[in-house]
Amino acid sequence: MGPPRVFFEVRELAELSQRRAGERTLRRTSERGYAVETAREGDLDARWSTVAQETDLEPLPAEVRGVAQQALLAVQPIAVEPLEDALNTLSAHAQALGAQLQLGLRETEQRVVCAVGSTARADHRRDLVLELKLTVTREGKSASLQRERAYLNGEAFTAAGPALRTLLEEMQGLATRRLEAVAAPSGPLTIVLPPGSDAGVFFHEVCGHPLEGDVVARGASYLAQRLGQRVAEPFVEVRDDPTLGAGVSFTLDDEGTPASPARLITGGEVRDALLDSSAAAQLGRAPNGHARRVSFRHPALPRMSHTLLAPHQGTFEELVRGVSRGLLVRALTPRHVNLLSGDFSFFIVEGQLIEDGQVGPFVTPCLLRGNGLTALAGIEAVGADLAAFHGLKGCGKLDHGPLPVSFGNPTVRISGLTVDAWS
Amino acid sequence: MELTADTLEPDRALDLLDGALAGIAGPAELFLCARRERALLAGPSGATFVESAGSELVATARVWREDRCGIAVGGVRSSHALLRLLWAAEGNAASGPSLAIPSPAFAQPAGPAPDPIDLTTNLRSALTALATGLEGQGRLQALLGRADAGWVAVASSAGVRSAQWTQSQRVMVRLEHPRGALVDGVEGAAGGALEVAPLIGRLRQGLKTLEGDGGAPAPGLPWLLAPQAAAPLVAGLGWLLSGDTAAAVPGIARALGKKIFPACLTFLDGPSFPERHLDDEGQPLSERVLIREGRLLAFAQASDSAATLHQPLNGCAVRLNGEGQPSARLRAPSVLPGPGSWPDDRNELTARVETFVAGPRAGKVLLVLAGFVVRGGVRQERIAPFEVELPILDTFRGLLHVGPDAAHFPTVDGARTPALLIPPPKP
Repeated sequence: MGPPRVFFEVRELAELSQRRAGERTLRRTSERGYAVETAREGDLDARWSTVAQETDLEPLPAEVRGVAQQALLAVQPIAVEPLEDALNTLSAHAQALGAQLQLGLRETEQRVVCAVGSTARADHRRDLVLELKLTVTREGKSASLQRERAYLNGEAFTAAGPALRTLLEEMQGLATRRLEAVAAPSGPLTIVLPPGSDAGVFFHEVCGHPLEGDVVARGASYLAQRLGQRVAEPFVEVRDDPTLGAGVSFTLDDEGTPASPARLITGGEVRDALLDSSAAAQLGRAPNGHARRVSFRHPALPRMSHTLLAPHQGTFEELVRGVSRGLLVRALTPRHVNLLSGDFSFFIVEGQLIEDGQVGPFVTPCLLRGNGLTALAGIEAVGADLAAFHGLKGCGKLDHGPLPVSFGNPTVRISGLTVDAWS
Repeated sequence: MELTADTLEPDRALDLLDGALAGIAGPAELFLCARRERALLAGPSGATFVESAGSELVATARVWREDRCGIAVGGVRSSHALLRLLWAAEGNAASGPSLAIPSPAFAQPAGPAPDPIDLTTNLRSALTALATGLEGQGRLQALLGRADAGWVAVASSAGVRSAQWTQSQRVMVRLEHPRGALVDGVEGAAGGALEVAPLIGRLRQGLKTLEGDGGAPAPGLPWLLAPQAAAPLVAGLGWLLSGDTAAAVPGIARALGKKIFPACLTFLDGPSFPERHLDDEGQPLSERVLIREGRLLAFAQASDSAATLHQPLNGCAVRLNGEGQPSARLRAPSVLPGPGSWPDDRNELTARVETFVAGPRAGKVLLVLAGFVVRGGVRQERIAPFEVELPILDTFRGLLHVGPDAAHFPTVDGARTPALLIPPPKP
């Protein structure tokens, strides 16, 4: 039986949401607590406690207690007044554009302390995520468009007012075009995902979940069956990397292992998995810094953070230019992914036709179907224009969730997938 | 005095809530939840476990200022913390939603404490029995359980003073198969033995259904949805009949009192775990039947939806996952079993593959189903997994028969349903 592992966290969360009618809701959450985990005869025994005051830390080892006390003192409630002022300005701007605005904003500050024995390490995580949904209505028809932006903190968000107002104007123009959406095509189509879009969830679902260490250890992954094998062109590299400072970021994972990029697919070959200490032990490997917890009440599991397709070469325009008939897919919602076969189906929330190398009209909602291996083998081109996407939706796993995740992708062009109409 | 979930009892907690409410002017409400929890996550062999245990007291304060409601949620360790939470809620009121001031006066103490419950032993036994019973059946991707015991107490400046002991346990299984994943579970009272045999039976039947190649459902034949296939539709009907949905969709609200479904459909809020006789606004559960023999009698109501729809409360305010604002929902949306009369020729859909789509989209439920074409009462051909989106309202309006074989699905919003026979959906 080794020394116990301690995970302590202080988390302040402020969530503001605004419905289309303009009504706004504020939700604040303060979490302070710790878990002490002890290995016993093959089992792991985790005892968690909430912390209301410094004396509640007394059961912890002195070295851990000191760092935890510093974390307790360092975190202050999030100031929401400046955020509200900035949101009011955005709402007023949308109204002036003749559009209705729904929005969601979440600012998080989290300080964690991880310790094994008396060695304590601390990490500080902070971000603000904004989700904007703009609706225009003309002659009884409505069309909506959603965009997301992420910032280091509230100050960076409030400083971004001019850029966000420009974004609203762009959204208003696109939403107006979307009023004239044409019927979605059906059949095999070339798919283009633009950089930094919600469609980056594709690689999270198709490559990330099948390469989570616990899935791999249980033999339930279609990709793990191909470890070391080529499944895509050599320029295809998929990583989960919390060290970039783009999207979900941390320097230590929730077991105290230094964060590092997990190279899931490199040079087109399946190479690595996301590992916490338990999955690493089962696979005879070392943990690689991908243990994450929903809170101190939950044990760590191998989870994704910022999953990205690495950049290669070319611009959006160059990659679209080569498409005679295809679909530009900016937003996807997963419907199902079969971990053992790789078969998948996504709902295409936002798509535009591509004809003769030109992006054309929006299409009505439709479905994207295919298989992970076919899709990876069908990646024809990856651009150099990597950008991150960080939205409010989290990732659920077992009964642990949702956990914030983010994606990154440059422009990517994929053949061999099928689009079906949805009604 | 330090307050903990292990030492504070609910009727004493009501006194503390009253004391805190006396410290603030105007309409206000305090909801306090005490919870002792054990969670078990089985290792790949099913023989080792990660066991998490802890307890906490979490309070929610709602304070109304003019027409706006401020909400604050937080852990509490002292009676003063309750007052601080009320102040925080008051501070949030200016940014809060416009909500009806809830709930007429109602008082019901929790009474004496039940006997202490061992949360771990039966849960561990159930998981071990499942691991054994499912050995060699697909890939056991996840096997986990959770048990909790505690109480809830609600007090308000309007005179609500209600408390109730609670306890429950549930296990969940995820099996991977090359044709899709099966996710299912079982739920019961904490401390007692969980009956896992029906769950093992359902999962084995599901895997057997997925074996081998198959075709499409036979055109023109009715669909017999086994309980596991029907459960998301029943959960979807619960969503459709929540007061919040009815308040947002006037067409549904206008159907109240009308016989819009066939007589074979009776739909109610069935027994749930934890068993509750009070909702999370402290109101008693009443009028559990929402549809009786096809007639729409009521919606699930919390105070805000009831005020919007000018309908009586019926004890359906639920605070899920520590939400500050309760939503109107059923804890166990249930279809009452019937005699079950199946035609000899039918598409029998006996497996449902897990999807990411948790709730209805545009009033439709996404299902991935597999099964058998039955002719002359005999299974003739296999139906391979296929996607279908069924409109909730139209599907239940076309319901042909209801079976006697109800099962409970904690992994599908607590839905409880027998097999349902429906006409073949329109292409």
